Amino acid sequence: MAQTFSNTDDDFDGLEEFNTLQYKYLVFRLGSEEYALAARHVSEIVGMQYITIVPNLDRHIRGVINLRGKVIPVIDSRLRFGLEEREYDERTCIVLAQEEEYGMTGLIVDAVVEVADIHEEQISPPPKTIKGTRSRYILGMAKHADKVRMILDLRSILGDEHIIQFQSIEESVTA
Amino acid sequence: MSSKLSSQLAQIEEMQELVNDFIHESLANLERTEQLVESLGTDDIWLIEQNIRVLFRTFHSIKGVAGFLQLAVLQALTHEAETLLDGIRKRPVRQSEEVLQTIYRAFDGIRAIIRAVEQHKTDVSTSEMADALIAHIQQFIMPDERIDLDGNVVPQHTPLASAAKTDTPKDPPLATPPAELTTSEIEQIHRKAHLLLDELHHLAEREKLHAQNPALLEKFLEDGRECVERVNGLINELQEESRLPADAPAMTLAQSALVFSDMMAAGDLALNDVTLLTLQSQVASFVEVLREDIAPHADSATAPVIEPSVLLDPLPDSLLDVQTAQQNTTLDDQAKTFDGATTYTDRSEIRVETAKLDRLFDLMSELVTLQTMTLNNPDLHNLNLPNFQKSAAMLAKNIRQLQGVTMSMRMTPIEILFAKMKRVTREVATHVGKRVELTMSGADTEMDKNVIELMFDPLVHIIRNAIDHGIESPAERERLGKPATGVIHLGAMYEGNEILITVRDDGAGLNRKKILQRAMQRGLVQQNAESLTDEEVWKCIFEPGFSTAEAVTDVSGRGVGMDVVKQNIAKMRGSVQVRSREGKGATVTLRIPLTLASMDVILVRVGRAHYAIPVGAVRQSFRPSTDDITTTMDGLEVVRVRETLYTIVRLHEIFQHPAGNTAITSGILVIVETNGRKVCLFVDEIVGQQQTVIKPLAKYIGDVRGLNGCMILSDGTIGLILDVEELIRIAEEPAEMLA
Repeated sequence: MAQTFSNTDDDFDGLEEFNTLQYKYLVFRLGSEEYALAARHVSEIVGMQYITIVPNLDRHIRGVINLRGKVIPVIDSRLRFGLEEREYDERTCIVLAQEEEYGMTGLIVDAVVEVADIHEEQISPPPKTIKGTRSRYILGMAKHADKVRMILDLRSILGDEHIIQFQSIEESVTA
Repeated sequence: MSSKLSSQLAQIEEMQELVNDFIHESLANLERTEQLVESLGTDDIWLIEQNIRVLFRTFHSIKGVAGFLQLAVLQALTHEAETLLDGIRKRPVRQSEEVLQTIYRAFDGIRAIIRAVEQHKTDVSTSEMADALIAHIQQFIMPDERIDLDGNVVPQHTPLASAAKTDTPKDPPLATPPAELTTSEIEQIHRKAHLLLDELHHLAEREKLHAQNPALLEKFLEDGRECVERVNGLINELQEESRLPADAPAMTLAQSALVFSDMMAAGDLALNDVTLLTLQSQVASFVEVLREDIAPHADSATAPVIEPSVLLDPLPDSLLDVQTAQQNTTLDDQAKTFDGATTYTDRSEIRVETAKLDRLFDLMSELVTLQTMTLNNPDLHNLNLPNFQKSAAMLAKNIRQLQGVTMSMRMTPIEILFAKMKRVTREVATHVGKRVELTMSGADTEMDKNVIELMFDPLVHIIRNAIDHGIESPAERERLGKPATGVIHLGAMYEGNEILITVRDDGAGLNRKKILQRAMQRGLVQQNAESLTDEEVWKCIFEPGFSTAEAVTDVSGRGVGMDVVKQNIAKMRGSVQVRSREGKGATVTLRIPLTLASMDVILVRVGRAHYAIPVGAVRQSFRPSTDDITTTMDGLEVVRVRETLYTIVRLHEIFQHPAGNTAITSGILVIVETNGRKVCLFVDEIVGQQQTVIKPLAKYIGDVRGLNGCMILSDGTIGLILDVEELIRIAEEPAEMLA
């Protein structure tokens, strides 16, 4: 509330929205862990729907959906993060995230938890000693009550890794 | 934030917008008018007169804005080009090859400068190029036509007054000017007036921009007063020189403009954009009327001008209106009768961003999808709803019409593309020392603008080829009993949902022996080459690398970049075909879909997936019996249809997803063909045929082998559009690569 008060002093409407959005995160769950994605990336959340399989792609790219006439690729976050695959249920959602380079992409998540404020002082840098390479999807760790939420880097999630893989497949085919 | 800062920001933004508008408008104008240059090389004086005016106007308006935007290089070049055109305007006769080339170079130069402005916000980087070009242009300008940017003649102009007197006025009581002025003098005055008008206009613009800034405003007022005084002087001068009676319409206009400018110069009237624009319009109408009074039918189509320096009978001004009206109608009529000759017709139109059009397209296709979803809604099943059905039918009809209009918005005549080929033809022919005439038909055929743009490179390649390798040298042609000038005919016509573009030449035709020789060198054909059909031989010229630099110097068959032609056409989902008769010439036929935005497809189902096959590729579909199928030891299935064997491609195997059924006899086989190669697709069932809007698969996904894009199905899910050519290639690959 204090923050809202301080914002009213400024007569610039856009600024208020900007300030509030800056600390907002969409929190979702995969298994027992919670992840946070900056709200400015999130444009919409839709329920699970029929996904058209696009052949010969990486396994984590599930296919495409039609969102009001727009064709949007959908990624299974579990598969992207190397987690175990799981049946979709009624809580499964597609988070539509907007990224500068790749445009709109859907992320399949187990469930959406809440929209939360996360401030600078709550965030710790990502662990350095973590195994594997997937920790680079993490921008930081946000301490929240009794939990720690992982703040995600959308760009590296979408990243060009799969494109590199794809090229190497193509090269081996044409070679 | 201070209001001063924000107003300055607003100014910068406004300025930027002005520059952007200028860039786009100028490029569009150049593109539209460039085709008119060709007509200056004809003997058709009427046509030259019409077109030179349009060309002049194009350069003139660019020059005007360039001056305002302080693009000195652009201004200088357009000025020079304008002067050159003005000379032609005064003496509208057939122009030499060199002059045409020069005008084309001016077009290229101006475009280059504008592009530079677009990129670097300044034209400084192009000054060297412009200087060279200006020097080149100046060779073609008569010394007495040289005027500097202020409208002064360099060197001193010698008045030609009384050089030509007109007949006695036919109708003394009406205002008929004693024609003491020659047309060239009138043009001089007119040009001066126009320069001043431009200046006034720019001042008015500046006023708008600088109103907030005291220092700039001060400078503006100074310039403004000076300019108004010059206007005043000019009006006085014109009044005297024209020697019109005081009651002539031009004189009354002059009087009121004088009063106005006097008041402005004296400070009785505020100098601002409103007053400046008023003054501008007053002077403009004065100059126009004056011009008509002095030389009422210098432009008349009914009385063709032979000697531009001779003044024609002035007409009583009561007849002027009638005559102008007549002139307009006769111009239109004449425009139609001049077949093949390009005339400029100003269509009333507005410019729309392509992005907006694309959005409209998207919405349109969504609307169609939604309509199907609504009208075929399962909730409505088994209901008897006569009134609803009636309304639904009307809605469907309206949506169809709306769709038609939306589609047509992207259609433009292929004319501009064809006209550009005239320049290409002339330049290439001159370069290789051959004489070639380009004729055309069907230039009014309309196509999607995006397609037309993609057609440019392929057409240039084909024409260049036809001239370089097809058409013989004039001497050779005469020896063969052909006319020395070769003919290339460019034709366009509709055929179903496609457009056929043909390039036909009357040259030597393709040389089968030489093409085969080269093809064998390159290992494109094996032995038994003699048994190949002509068609199979011609295909070789489209192979990448078939035509290289050495091929050109060797003059061994045609094919400069024909593989590029094939690739570009394939990108548009079109096809290329070559026919040739030795000694008689060759014809290249391009088949292009009318629009890239939509296409007719056959929808098939494989498991849960829906695939769309372009209708043009589908040859036949049937339910096979086990007897027709042969399986090789590699598991490759082949089906026999009468005397032909087709390889079977199981879509679910290529795309690696579960199939509905795998037993070949319970599914359907679809024979598809593209560029003469055929393959047989195995699917679960054929769902139907429909027209669809093609959408790209998301950027994140990129290109997928065997797919061309996707479409939204009537149930709102997404279907995938097959790339038949790629599928055939996949099928023809060695089996282990498929895995």
